[in-house]
Amino acid sequence: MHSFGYRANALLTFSITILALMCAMASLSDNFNSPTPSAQVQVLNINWFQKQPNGNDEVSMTLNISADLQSLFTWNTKQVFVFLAAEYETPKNSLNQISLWDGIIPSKEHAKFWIHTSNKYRFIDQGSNLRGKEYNLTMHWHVMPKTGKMSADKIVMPGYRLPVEYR
Amino acid sequence: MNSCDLLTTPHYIFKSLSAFNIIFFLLLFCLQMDWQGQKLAEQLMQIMLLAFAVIAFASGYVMASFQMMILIYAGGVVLTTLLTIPNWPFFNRHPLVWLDSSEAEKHPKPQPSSNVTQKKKPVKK
Repeated sequence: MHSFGYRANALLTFSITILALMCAMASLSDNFNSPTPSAQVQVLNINWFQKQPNGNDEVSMTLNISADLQSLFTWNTKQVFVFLAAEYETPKNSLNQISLWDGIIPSKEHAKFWIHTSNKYRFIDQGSNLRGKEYNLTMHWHVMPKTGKMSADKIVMPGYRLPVEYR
Repeated sequence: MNSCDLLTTPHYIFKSLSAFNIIFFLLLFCLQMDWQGQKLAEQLMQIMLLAFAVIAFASGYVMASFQMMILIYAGGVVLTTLLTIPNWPFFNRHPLVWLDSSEAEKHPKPQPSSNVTQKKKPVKK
């Protein structure tokens, strides 16, 4: 500590060590938060439902998505990525996941929302298994913190069924 | 290397500075602290940084603002830098007192004895 340079070096290293410690504590403080998110999705209409020339089934639907993800946000949350997936089982694949809609929630104020939309990404099956198929709509989200580990969770909403005939 | 060596400092730097400025600069950044001052500077730095970290974390958590935590801590680091890095006069209140030269003459340096030189020679072979 006798010269200018030694004191500057000591201060720099000590202050950055403490900064890292503060960030670790901020990350750990997220564990005190127990989120209680909710989501509802209504399928308002099947716009069309057809078999493509190459043999794959494709559906277009109108959705009403409402969700309250405010409890996911803490002081250490940067943003939340959320997407809605259709999940169903076919003889070939035990789990098919098709993303229908996604969004980025930048702050707690935007975390309670409802949106009326047709599917943002195309709902195409690998094959022709969709007629009369029962499927789940699942709301997935990934929480991106300012410091620390990303986390992900989901809400599964079962009991949706596609029409028996093409239209 | 000491960047504050007067002999290596170019003259054009001094021309633009008044004598007061030069003395002030030398006092704050060049001269070495005394022992007590060094201890004080280190303790002050550690205590201030820790205190600001606690204040910053607590207020950031209460206000639910990560940015507030970073801003308060950054302010604390700047303040600590200004207080503990320059060689302020209050770090130099305990100057080392050297013995008078007449005192040194009374206790002459011990001369290296002939035994030591004899012992070293065989090692060098």
